[in-house]
This record gives sequence, structure tokens and C-alpha cells, in this order.
Amino acid sequence: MIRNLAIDYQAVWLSLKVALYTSAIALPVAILLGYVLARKQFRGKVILEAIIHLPMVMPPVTTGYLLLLILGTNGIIGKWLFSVFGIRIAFSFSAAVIAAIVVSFPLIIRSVKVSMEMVDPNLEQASRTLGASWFKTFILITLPLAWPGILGGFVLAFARSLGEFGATITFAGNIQGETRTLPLAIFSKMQVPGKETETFALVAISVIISFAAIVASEYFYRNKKKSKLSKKKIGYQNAE
Amino acid sequence: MSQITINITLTRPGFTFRINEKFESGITGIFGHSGAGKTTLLQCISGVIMPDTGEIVSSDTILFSSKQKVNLATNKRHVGYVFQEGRLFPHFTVKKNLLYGTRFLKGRKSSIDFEGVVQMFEIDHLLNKFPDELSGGQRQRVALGRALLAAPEVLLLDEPFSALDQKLRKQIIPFISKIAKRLDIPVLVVSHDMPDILKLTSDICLINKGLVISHGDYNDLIKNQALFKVLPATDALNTLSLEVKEINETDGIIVLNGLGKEQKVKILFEPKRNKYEIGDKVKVFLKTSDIVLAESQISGTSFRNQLKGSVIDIIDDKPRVLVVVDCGFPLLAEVSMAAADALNLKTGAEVFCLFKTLALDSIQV
Repeated sequence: MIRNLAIDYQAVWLSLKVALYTSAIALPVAILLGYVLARKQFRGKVILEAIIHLPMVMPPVTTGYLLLLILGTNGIIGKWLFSVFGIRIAFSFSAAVIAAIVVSFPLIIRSVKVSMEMVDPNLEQASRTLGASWFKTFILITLPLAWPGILGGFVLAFARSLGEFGATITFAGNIQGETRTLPLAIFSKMQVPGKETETFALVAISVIISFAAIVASEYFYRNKKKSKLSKKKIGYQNAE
Repeated sequence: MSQITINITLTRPGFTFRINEKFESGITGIFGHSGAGKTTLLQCISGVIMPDTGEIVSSDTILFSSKQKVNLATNKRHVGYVFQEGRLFPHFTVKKNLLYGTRFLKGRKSSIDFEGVVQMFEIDHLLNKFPDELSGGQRQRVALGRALLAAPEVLLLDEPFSALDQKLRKQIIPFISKIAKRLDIPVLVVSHDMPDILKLTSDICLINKGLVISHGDYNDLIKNQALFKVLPATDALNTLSLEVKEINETDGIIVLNGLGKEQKVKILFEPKRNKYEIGDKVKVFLKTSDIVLAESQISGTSFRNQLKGSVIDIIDDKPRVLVVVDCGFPLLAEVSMAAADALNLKTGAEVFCLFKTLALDSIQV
């Protein structure tokens, strides 16, 4: 029976691709911005944080609509992009990625910012007195110590972009093979009578992917802990 | 001979910090109450905070100069900073912590190598451990070693004892003394605990309300009374620098000689605690309240120490009186007003300072 089932693998693949692109693009930006928000005080910080977090509380459809207003072919920036470079963003794969980034960014930045705040700035200061530049300190001290939170943010962003629906359908549309991600495919299948099994198959795949993502993050996190523990054990034996 | 000169002003709401001092190789104790500006001084030297005006010069390097618009970044100052909590990197082993600064040396050479540090601080057995597996004293030793391996030209120790209990404090002191002997750099030790500082050095810089009150030898600070501006006279500790002359095992007594005037001081012979040999330089500590003043020598008492001296100052501190007696070194004795009246104490008067061998605490220097 499964063999006869027409599973929309394309949607699955597309979803994974959007999620991967999103996390890969959003993560470095979130790390830098998270550091700035955690460590620096500047004017307009509250406003900046509010803007970043807005998509978390706004209905995704609203976010998609605003994106359309800004980046659509007639939008503020979109118009200019189209006339100068001939680039059309709305209703394309890029639009699906942008929608997912905007929607998942608040989650990832929250996680990164909190984990960076947990890193004792005194340790960074100690690193500086030992001759390390700001950048070396960031790479050797801040990042490794904030790593669990950063990884958590990555998984959250990945999961959130997998499930992104509202902003995507508004800004990127529901184009088969280009912007029809897993949730959109499920929604489309649901509309057609008699496709219950196929719908269910997609739902199942969606659950499996989400589950796997969480298990993977747990695994990485624990592995890191374990490797530290086993090192400790070796050290103990040496000491004896 | 390296040195650091600091001539800076820093103004913050409700607080002005001004210092114009030169610190040479060896340990200088920076003493003051909390909020006096001790940590501010260290932060200015290390570049954590920027003074408003002035200059900080370490040997030949200008670390900060408002005139020349120089403000070197912390990592370019080569200023070692050991913090009270150690601040070891929790994700690195002890070994990696120790070697952290060596990767930024850029050709500069540390006057002590990794093996030297491991040996000096006795941390060989800890190298593969993580900081959370160490005791407070071990952490502090690793922090000291880590700072030294970064080849500092000045070493700053911020309250290095405050996180340690009394027993551990005593253990860490010899390690800090060793640093000063081994490295020819200025070492500034900040503390609000005078007895701790005195165990390391008698070169004291007194700071109060953002200003340097006085800087000099501890005994001179007692003589000119600058010390009492920041430390209640009753909290002052007598510090005597002496030399071992005789060891009398059968009597259980070690006889020490004053370095200036020939004055004999007897301390207890405790082979478990101190392994002194003749000729060793020893620092002896004595509380002001442990000294009894007498008009003449007294026989038939258990006071094994009876030092003759002359009163050089009498400080009124109702209801007690602090008497500064010159015995070749100043001795500060605390007596009640009634006792002072009964003795008819006056400056220039001859007195005997009596104290038990048991009242003395000593360390080798």
C-alpha cells in the first residue's frame, strides 16, 4: 500500500532545505547580534529588541504581508531590487527562506542572547589580561561557553522554519517544487477529498523530522558533556 | 629593574581618584578599605577602565597617556592580573588554562617556563583536572601560574586571599613570595587585610577615599602615624624583621636578633611548623594588646621577652592608649588609660616591653 502512496517527497526535501538555509543564515547573524545585545548598552536597544521579537508575537500572516509590502515587486525595497538588478524575491524559494528567517529569528536570538549573558564577562576580561584580543576571546572563551544555548537556538530555528506556514504562504506563495514546504503540502492535501492517507503520511514525516532534530541536539549536547567527563576520568588516573 | 609609574586622575560622580606613585620590582601592598579605590587603581593599570587624565608607564612602555592620546588595549599591556576568585576558564583543563596566555606571546619570552611554573606552584598532579575539581587554594595557584606564563611586566593581585580560609591563606603566601624572588617585576597586592599584606611585604601604600595617604615601610608608617588614618590603631600589627641567631632545642626556644639594634627576641621552637636555621631571615608578628609595659625588667615571670626601649609617641584612643616604643624597631603597645597613668608614661621615658614567646607568629622571608 505504501508503494502506491504518492508521497510529496519534493515538499519534504524543500522543507529541509528551507530549514537548513534558514538556520545556517540566521545563526551567525544571531550570534553576533546576540553578543551585542548581551554585552553592550546603547541607545535604541529596547526598540531594536522589540523589532527583532515582533515576529514572535505577530500573526505569521501579518509578518508575511509586511514582507510583501517591503520586498514584493511593488514593495519599498523589492521595487528597487527589481528595477536595478532584475531580482524578484516574492513568491520564490528565497522568499520562503526569508519568511522562515524572519519568523524564527526571535527564537534563536533569545536563546543565543541568554546563553551569552550566562557567560561571565569576568572570564572575558581575564582572557584579555592574558593577551587575547577581543576576537580571540570571543572565539576561545565566549563561544564555547555559550555553545549549548547556541545549539539550542539552532534547533529551535530549524524546527520553527520547518513548521512555518502563515508568512510563507503569504509572502512566498504555495508553488509546487519551489515554495510548497511540508506544512503547505499538508494543507493542500487536506483540501482534496480522498487524500487522507497521503496527508497522514506527510504528517508522520513531519513528526519524525521534528523528533529527530530534537534527539540530535540532545545527542550533541550530551556528547559534549560526556567527552568532558571522560577527559576528567583520564586526568584522575594520571594523577594517581 | 622594571618599574611602573602612575600619575592619573579619574573622576566619577561622588568619587575622585588621584594617584602619583612609582612602584618598583618586588611586592608592594596596596591597603585601604573597600571603596577606597584599590581595585580602581588595578583596573586603570590593566586598561579595564580609562583614567580621565595622566600617564601610566610600565618600564619604557606608555600604557596610557592623555597628552599623547595613548590608551593601549588590555591585551597589549602585558599586565598580569590575578583576580580574587581565580577566574579560571571552566571549559579548559588546568594545563590549557596555564598555557592560555602563551599563544599570544608573539615572540616575547616569559622568564619562567611551563615546567618552572608547575614546579613552583606544585600543581603537577592537577594538570588534567578541570577548574571545578580544584579547591580554592589550588585554583588560586593555577591562576597565579597562568598569569606568569603570559610574561607579565607588572603583576596585579586583587584580594588574592579573600576567597580563601585562614589555613589556605597561609599556604598561598609562600607562593606569592616566591614570584617576587624569581621575577624582577613590580607586584602590586591589593588587600583590606593588613596582616595578610604584612606577611608578604613591608612596603605599603595606603589608599583612602581615592587618594594615596602615604607609601613607605610599614614601621615608618607607624612612626609617622600615617597608618592610623586608615587603620584603627588597635588593629595595627607589630611586624619585626629579624634574623635567627640561636636555636635551643632543649629549651624549645629560638633566639632572633634585631637587624638594626642588637635586641634579642625569643620565639617558640616548633619543628613541625617552622624549620628555621641559623642566619634565616624571619618576620615576626605581634598583636599590640599582647605587649605588657613595665618600668623595669621583671624576674620570676613567664615573659621570656623583655625588650628595653624608649617611648617615642603616645596616641590617645580613649579608653585606651597606644604607646609607640622604639626598641630598635618601633613596637606598638596597647594599654588602658589607667595603666598608662599609673606608669606615668611620657615621651622619652624608658620602658620595658614584655611579651610571651607564645604571642608571636613568625614566617620565613
